[in-house]
Amino acid sequence: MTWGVGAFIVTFAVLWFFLGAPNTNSEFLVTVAISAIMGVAAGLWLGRKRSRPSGDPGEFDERATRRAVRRGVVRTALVVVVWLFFGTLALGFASALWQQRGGREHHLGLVVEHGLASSLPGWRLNGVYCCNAGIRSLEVVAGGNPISASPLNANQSLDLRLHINLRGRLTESNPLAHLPATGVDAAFSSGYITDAQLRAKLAQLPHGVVATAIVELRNPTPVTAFYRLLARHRIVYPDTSDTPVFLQAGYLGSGTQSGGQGDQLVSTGSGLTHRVSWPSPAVAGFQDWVKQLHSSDDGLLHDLGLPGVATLRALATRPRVYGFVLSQADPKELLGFLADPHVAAVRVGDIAYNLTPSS
Amino acid sequence: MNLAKLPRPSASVVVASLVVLIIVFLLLATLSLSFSSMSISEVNPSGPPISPSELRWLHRGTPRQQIERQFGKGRSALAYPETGIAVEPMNATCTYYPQSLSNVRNVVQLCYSDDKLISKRAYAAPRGAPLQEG
Repeated sequence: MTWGVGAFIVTFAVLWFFLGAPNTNSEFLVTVAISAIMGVAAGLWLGRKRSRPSGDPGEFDERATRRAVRRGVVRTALVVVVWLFFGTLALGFASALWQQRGGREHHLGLVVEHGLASSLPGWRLNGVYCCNAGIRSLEVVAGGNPISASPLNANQSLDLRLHINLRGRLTESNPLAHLPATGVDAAFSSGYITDAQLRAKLAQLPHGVVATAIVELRNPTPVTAFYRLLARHRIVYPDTSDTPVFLQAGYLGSGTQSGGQGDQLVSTGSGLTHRVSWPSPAVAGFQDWVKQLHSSDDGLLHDLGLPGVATLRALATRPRVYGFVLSQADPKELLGFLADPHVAAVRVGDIAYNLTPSS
Repeated sequence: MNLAKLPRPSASVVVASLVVLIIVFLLLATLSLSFSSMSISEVNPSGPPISPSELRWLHRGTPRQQIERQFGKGRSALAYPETGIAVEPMNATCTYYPQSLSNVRNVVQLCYSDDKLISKRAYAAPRGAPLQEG
């Protein structure tokens, strides 16, 4: 009985430790059932009475008894230490095998690397490394720089460490909500002003200032037409490869057609509304990524502030650009986009003096 | 199965099992260390270019192996440096080759389904500087 209860509690604790708290009743019941099976098995196996040697116990020797008790205490402590050591090693071994089974490590790394790129239009990621395996999780490390008008902010660097647990979910709760604000975040949360007001404000800006802005397109635009639009405003390769695009409609894109696949937007919980983006208008990469996703990645995508695979697949089937990020744009450039008939709105984020814009 | 009939493991059996487990773990740990900390973005070298005239000679239904023997494996869109205006069908696996090494932004896209070529397209680079590799 004691063995059974002990095995039940230990199994339950181990499952809770490795898999995290059950989210649903069925998960809880499965955890209890597995623990119960282990408890019953341990009870049946180890709960038998041991045969005890019969015979005369002999004379009582007090000193010998004390020595035996001391030896017993020390031996028990040693056994516990050894079992803990070997148990930890065995758990680490089993956990590493489980986490790296069937290319899981590579797949999760792929989901997180491009998921971050798709979820963080305000950051230029310059390296995502996967995976350092721990007992309970895989660690993914991402580095990058914020898109910002100010050279001070641009020198900030991102050192994001995410941990994927044994169930393929992030252990951190809403990790992207705690990142420093970027110029794109500022543009997302900027208040509404009319085009005329914005034009007047931009006209007053002195020479030498640059801004981060989100440009909302009037209609969902195919990639070829979008490259032509950029070229009309003298944004050509290699600058195009540093122009994040939005593949979903925004709430505030005045005049932007929102319908069907573009309607499902995701709030990351930071108070800002994010939508699916890609770091450049070359969306074949986005399509390639989406093709490699499975429906079982929905949870991890959700943790990254992205919609599920079905929505991403719908976006990738017929990719359209709904808006894009302009970085280090001077007022003249912004006025040019504001005057373009294909542009619905320009939302300016941060503005700063940058006499030597680098990007 | 009656668990009560199973023999109790002796201490030597337990210790021997643990020692074997540790050795296997150390071996696997060594192997996994050699693969860890690898950038996911690392790319494979691309194959030779496919010129528009060579592209004309490729027929739909050609086995993928045959094309890869002739032109190399190409790169996926995620691994190719700049795919520009290329758009992929979602029901196929696509690879990219440069049209020439003088500007790898001019790309050839070959898409396969069931390891057979189902579409081939050449995309001219959008305006901008040429991109050379290597």
